Amino acid sequence: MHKITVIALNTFKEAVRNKVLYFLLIFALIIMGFSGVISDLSIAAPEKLIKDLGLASIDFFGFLIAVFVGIYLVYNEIDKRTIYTIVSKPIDRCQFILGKYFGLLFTIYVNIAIMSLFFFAVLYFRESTQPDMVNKALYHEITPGKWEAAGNPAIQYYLFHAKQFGLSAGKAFITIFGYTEPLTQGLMRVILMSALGLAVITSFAIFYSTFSTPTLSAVFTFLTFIIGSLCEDILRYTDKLAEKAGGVNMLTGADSLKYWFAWAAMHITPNLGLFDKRMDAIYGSEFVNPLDRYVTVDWVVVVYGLLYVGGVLCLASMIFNRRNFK
Amino acid sequence: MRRSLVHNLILVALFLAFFSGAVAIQRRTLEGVRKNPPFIETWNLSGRSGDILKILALRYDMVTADFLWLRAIQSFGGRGMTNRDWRPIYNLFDTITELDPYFEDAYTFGNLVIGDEGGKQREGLALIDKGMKNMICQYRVPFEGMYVAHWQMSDTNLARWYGRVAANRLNAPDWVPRIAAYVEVQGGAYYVGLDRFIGNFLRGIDGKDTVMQTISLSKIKDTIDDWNKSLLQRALDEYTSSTGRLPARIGDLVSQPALQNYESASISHFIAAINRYLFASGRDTLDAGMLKGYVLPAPDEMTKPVPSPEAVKAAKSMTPFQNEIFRDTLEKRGGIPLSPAGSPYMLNLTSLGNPYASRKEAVTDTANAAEFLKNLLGDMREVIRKRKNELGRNPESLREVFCTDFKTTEPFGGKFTYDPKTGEFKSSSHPDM
Repeated sequence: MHKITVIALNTFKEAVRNKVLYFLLIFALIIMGFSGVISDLSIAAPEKLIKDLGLASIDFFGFLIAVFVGIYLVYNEIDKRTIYTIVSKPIDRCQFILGKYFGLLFTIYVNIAIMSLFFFAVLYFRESTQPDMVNKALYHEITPGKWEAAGNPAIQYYLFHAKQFGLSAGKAFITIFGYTEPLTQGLMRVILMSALGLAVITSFAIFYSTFSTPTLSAVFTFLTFIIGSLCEDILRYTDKLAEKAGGVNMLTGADSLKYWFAWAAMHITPNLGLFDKRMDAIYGSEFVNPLDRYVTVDWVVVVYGLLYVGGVLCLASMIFNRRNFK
Repeated sequence: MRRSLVHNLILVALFLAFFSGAVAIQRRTLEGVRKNPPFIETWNLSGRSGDILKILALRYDMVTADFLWLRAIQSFGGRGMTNRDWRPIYNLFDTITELDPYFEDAYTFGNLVIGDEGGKQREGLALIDKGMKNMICQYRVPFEGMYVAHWQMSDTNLARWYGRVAANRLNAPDWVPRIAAYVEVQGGAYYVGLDRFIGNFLRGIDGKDTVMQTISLSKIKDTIDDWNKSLLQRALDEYTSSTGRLPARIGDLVSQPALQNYESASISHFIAAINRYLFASGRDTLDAGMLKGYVLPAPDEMTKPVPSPEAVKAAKSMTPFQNEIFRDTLEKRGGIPLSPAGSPYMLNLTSLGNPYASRKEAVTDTANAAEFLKNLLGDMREVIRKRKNELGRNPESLREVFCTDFKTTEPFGGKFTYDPKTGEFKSSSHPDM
């Protein structure tokens, strides 16, 4: 366990030196900040726009970090020949893969935490600086209908915004640790489920990097992500093929090939849609299903995710064990 | 050193040449954009775009829907200035709602753009129908459908259907069933409307909400009034089709089949029934102030016993007795009914047979007809006063005011008189008005 922790921490240190990570993070933060601006273009549901864009950014940029950082982790060790010093030490190759995996996962989760902090801060800040709230802060009512400016309006305006910025940042920070308001209800659970989905994708990135080049690993991981995201559509596609032929047994030729290829693809790749709870959080589960109560943690999905990660890491370790570094 | 400087200078010069060329071209294209109205063409999405985009968007379909939504808002602004082709914008909203099936605003705003603004109400309602299927708990989407069907398409049957769906939705506020009941009444479903308003009234009693009680009572009165008028209109139609002429007075309709042994409701029966049940349950009867302006029941009607006094006394709520109260409110009768306000019904002779007046205006009650006459006189006097100001004297005749013969019939069957000496315009039936 200690060995895995040491490798994981080293992997984290190595990953945070990767400039790609910062580019992706900054880009994600810009998009989230921008969501506050574009929501003003909408005549309705501005909060929905911010939430949609924020949650999608956290998920997608988390995935990009997993791909662009993950694919180099094992490859760099081999390319720079530092792997020889590691395998010559009493470290099991499985421990090496696990260390790399947890190091990368920790990097991704730190980034998710930063993105979430920013996302919640944007939501809270926008809510607390609505025009009526700003007016209340700048003017106070002396008698009904008569208003007086509370000091210099320009200075008060900036003071008010600075105060709200601080408060929003504080609230955003505690939201990550479980504090919720109606505005952010269920969002942290969505992010946690998303993080679990990223753990699965990260395991695939590590797995591919144990036997292929970074470019190929990136392509494979992207394909896994695409197939995983379309799992339910592929299921419908196979159903349609079977229905058209009058049953699975009636499929012949190209259709049969297509059917079994799609069937295999959807069973091998993880169904990433299961980790996606964004719709529940945006609309509330009552909206979608009145019998359900808001975003709930689906423990079957959690177990499913962990089983997938375990399985893929075992496979990665097996392949890595067979590699010859002599 | 010198060589390096020259090298750099060449690079700077090349940069300036390339970059300024690019900026110049960009400026020209931007000027071209400015000359055209914004967003003339909306993206040419088809009916299948939603399905395809849903796959292409992977799991980010809600964000894709948001961007299309922003685009739709911009396109709406642009399209308002250009043509009114509904298809591209319909496909846009259809695609948005395929990607994000719970995007309530996309359905309602899409319906507004296509139906209200674009005049294609049927196509707007197609979006509403889709939203109703996708969001089974929300009242707002079917409510919008009711609004469009009733107030824009004048299709009361369709409006009633949307109204019923909206009123039964889980998150429907109190006012939705009230408006739905109003639409029921407008569509001629008086039994349903009356039942709904009685239900509202009883909930007002249970919640000790006098405002709700007052509104509901007023709506019950309007429902009974509309019901009576619809019977009289039917009798009027029967009279004109059987005799080939218009009736001279309301009494001419008495022998028509529509007014023989018909069922309607009575406000006095309703008040009596409510008071009986309130009394039996040990509560205070209705406040006399609330009943001002309604036909009150006879004292003996108030003292009739309720069918099961023990059950009424034990009940904590009045709503379980809605069916009984509803049945007590109905009555079978024949002849000309009395309006719930107590004023007799009459034919408004100004509107009767007037092709510009709505069919409903032909039957009114005396109080309303007096109000109508008062407004008519006010309007006429205002026109005459303006003409007087133009001429600097009283008009010699009404022909000098209206440039044609004055043929408007007086609602009560009297005559309009104009005195050129004094400039007074009066009605012979209400000379003091």
